[in-house]
Amino acid sequence: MKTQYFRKPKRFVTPVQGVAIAGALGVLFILLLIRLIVPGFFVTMFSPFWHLGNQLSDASALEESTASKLARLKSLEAENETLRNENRLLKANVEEDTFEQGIIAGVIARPPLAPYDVLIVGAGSADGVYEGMRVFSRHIPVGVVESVAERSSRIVLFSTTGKTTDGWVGEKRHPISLRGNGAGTFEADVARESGVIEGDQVYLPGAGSYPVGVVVKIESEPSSPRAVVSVRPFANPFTMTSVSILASPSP
Amino acid sequence: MMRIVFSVAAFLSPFFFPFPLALILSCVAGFFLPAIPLMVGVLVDVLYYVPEASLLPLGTLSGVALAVGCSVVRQFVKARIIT
Repeated sequence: MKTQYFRKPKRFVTPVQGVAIAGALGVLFILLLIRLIVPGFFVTMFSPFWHLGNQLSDASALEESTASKLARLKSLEAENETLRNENRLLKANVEEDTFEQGIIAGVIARPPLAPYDVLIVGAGSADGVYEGMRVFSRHIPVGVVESVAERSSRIVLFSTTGKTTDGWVGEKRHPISLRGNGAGTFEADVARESGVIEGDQVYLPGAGSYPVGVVVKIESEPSSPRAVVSVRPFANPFTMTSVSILASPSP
Repeated sequence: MMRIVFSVAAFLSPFFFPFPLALILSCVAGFFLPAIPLMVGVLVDVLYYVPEASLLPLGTLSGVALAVGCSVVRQFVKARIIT
């Protein structure tokens, strides 16, 4: 007997697929209808979703930018505070300078034209200068007025050979007697155990303390309990062009 | 399951996702059902095609290209698996 079998005809689409396709076409038709009636409907409705990623990245970028700006703001505020303080300090200094400017006198003769450690300045009794006034070069005390003429004065520097002036040395303000050594330099005797080292600043008393020089050499004998300190002055008498003369009796 | 998930995502993508993402989702769904990219392309044109902006319906054309490509790849992969 001949076996018969029916070859099942292969359908292009199954009934389920057909229903799905019909449904999809129906939905497409409805969408098309909506599109034809309101052309911009879908773009208006759904475009915000497309840009959501951009908005999120923009927001995170904005957040980062805000954080960095805040950090910069804090840094600038700190800088402003520093500058404000510096400004206050400078203003105070200016007021102090104005207050303590004294009589400005040009230097007529200085070493070696004048005798060593003597200055002749162009301000005298007519300008209000009198004996014993102290003399500064750029806030550094350099000497005292020794004699006064009508239009000029003679100033003896602290560094005049043999002249002694009391002062301090170092951060601990160790008291010393500065001995003029000529040409603007000083010497002083200190105890070997005083702790004075090279580089320590030397001060003279006044309204506070005025730095006049720096320790450049310390010499001592092994058998001696004392040491000799050499001081290099901040103010060079050979290059002074003008000085301020103040009334205060010290130093 | 994957077929259904990717198909639904591909159909929803023209509404909610930017064009490149819709293209990728259609492509992925096309490996399961090659007709999906074509249908998504038609959907894109139904939703957004403006004749004044473009002479050709690029959504449908892209869908056709993707569907053909996916069919070829699918046939190739099937043949390799069988042999």
